[in-house]
Amino acid sequence: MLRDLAGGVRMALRRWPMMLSLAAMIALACVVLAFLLADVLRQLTALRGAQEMRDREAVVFTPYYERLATTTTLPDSTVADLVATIRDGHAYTAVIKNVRLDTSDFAGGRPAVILVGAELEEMVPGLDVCEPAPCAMRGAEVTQPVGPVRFAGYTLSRFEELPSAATYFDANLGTVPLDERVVLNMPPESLPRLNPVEREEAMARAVLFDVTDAEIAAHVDGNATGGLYLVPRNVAVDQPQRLTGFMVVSAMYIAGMAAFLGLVLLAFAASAGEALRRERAVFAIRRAYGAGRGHTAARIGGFVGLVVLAAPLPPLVGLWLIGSPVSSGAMWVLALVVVIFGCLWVWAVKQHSGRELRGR
Amino acid sequence: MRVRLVCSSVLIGVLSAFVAWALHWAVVNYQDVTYEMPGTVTTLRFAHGPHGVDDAEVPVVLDELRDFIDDRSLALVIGSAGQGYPQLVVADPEGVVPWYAPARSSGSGNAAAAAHVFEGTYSQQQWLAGRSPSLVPDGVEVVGTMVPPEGSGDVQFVRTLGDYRLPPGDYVVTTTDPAELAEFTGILHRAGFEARWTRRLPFTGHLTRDPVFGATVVLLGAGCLAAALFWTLGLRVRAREFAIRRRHGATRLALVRQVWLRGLAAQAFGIVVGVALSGALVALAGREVLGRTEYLLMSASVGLGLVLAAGAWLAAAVAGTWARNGAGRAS
Repeated sequence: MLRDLAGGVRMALRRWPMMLSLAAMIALACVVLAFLLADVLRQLTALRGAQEMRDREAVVFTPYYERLATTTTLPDSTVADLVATIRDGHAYTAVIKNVRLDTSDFAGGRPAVILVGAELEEMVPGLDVCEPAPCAMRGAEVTQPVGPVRFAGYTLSRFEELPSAATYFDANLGTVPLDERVVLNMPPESLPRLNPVEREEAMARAVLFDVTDAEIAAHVDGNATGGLYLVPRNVAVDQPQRLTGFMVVSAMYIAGMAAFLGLVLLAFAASAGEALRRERAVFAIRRAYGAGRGHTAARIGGFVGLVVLAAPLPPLVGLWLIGSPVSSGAMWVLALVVVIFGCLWVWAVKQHSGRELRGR
Repeated sequence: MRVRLVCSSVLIGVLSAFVAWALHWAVVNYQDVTYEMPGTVTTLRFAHGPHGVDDAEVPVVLDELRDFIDDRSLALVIGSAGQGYPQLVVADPEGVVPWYAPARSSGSGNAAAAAHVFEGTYSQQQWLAGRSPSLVPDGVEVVGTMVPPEGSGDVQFVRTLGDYRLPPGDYVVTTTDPAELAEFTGILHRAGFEARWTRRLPFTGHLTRDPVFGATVVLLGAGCLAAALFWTLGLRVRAREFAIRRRHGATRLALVRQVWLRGLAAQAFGIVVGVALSGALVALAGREVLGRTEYLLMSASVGLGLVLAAGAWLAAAVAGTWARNGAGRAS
């Protein structure tokens, strides 16, 4: 049977210019499709992640800085107001990009994320935050031990491990992977003790929910006084609009790639049919010398498999092994390629059997 | 063969719709970065330079800038790019910026100290509620509302270039003349800024650099090649028939003409179905009824698909009816 499989491969290799071109186009279409699907799945996950935010009419902010080069001086009262709102369970915040930028060996040199607010766990589903604050966690890919971390007056020496592919959802950044990060869950009282850059980001990334318009205005006004202009956006209104645009683009991408893949597969099916027709005499001789249907099917499988499976499988498996977020898309396309291979194989065997019968 | 033609043409229809939509996105994206300014524009990003500027110098430089724009009949839109107030500043002496019409809005007073909040923004809500918008600078009075241009994002208001410090950000100006741009950059340098980058934006250049549009064109081209191969191999099945007809006096041209013309209707049907499916997909994903723009795009897609598919089908008809020693094969 293996010899028949190899014979099928040789049959394809004899027509290498055509088969190689088709195999390359199939592989390219599959890889692009995997990336597109991964992106769509990631966005849909983000959409699900923001469901609670939409339900509770969460308000997020887009920052404009008075001067990018210098840090703003935010009033203490505005910071204190946010601390009180977080304590009351109507807000949470995070510092994602600016944690201890001036200390390169902070948390063992790994990027750190600061989370503040007990409501965060409820609003960001799928994220199990350690309790009680202050406490620390490390991403699944942070395998080296992290030494004690001193931050905002607290020393954290015990690090719980986050599950693999854990993410934080930020309305502006989307899904933030935490696998390679150290996560510090801090109490609201630590906010005034953050350095100015961290405090600025914490104010800008604040998520307010179940609050009045006056409270939102107070947050905007207070920060504007310090030169940080925050434009509020209601997630329930804003996110569906953004998502609609994204879904249209994604739908067109996926339909376009699927159409291209379809055309290439049609061309391959026609080429395979032509090749099998030309090899009909060879198959008849083999059959006369004892080759059964299984042998014929294996030979055709080797031929179809070389073009449809051999080219796209290595890059797709590679993408699958890379892990989140592209692995989910790669997995679906892998399954699709296997199904396509199966269908084409069965079709080619039936075509061949039909021709044999007609030949008799 | 007709079923094959319809099925493959449906796929070409989807691909041509993809190209048309990619072109549409490129146009919208171009309008985003140019704030819908007419003609070819140049965008310069300015940030505060280390040399700074004296307060006394500010009005002098501003007069110089206004004179420069007036003398050369230019238009200028300054976007904040994350710095300064979430605002747009416009200098448009010729009235060429399509969305900027302060004269038609309600309100009066000093134009430089007046601002128009954009519709649908937080600042408009505050203004309508009778409050002074907190994201509008002190001393600036909101006198009306305006429909925001494409690409304005979270920007809250627009005001005319006046006697206040120029903000840093993206300066979009309606010229590509190097001499004018050098003079413009010089004025901004005296205002305390330094240019971070300059980008000349003709639409054709924007389009050729657009990766999505390029990718869709390549996909459509490769798809047509694959379809031509598919159709050619489909016609090769009829090699004996073509050989017999050649033997009985049919010319090559007549065969190609007949095969090509007979396939066109099936192709047209397939392409219309493919484009219609794409339109339905857009409506479904966008959860809204298709508008005039979408129908125009679909018409363009059908036209593009028909031309390309007809070309590919002609190539397939020529290659598919060609047979070496055709007469011999028939015997």
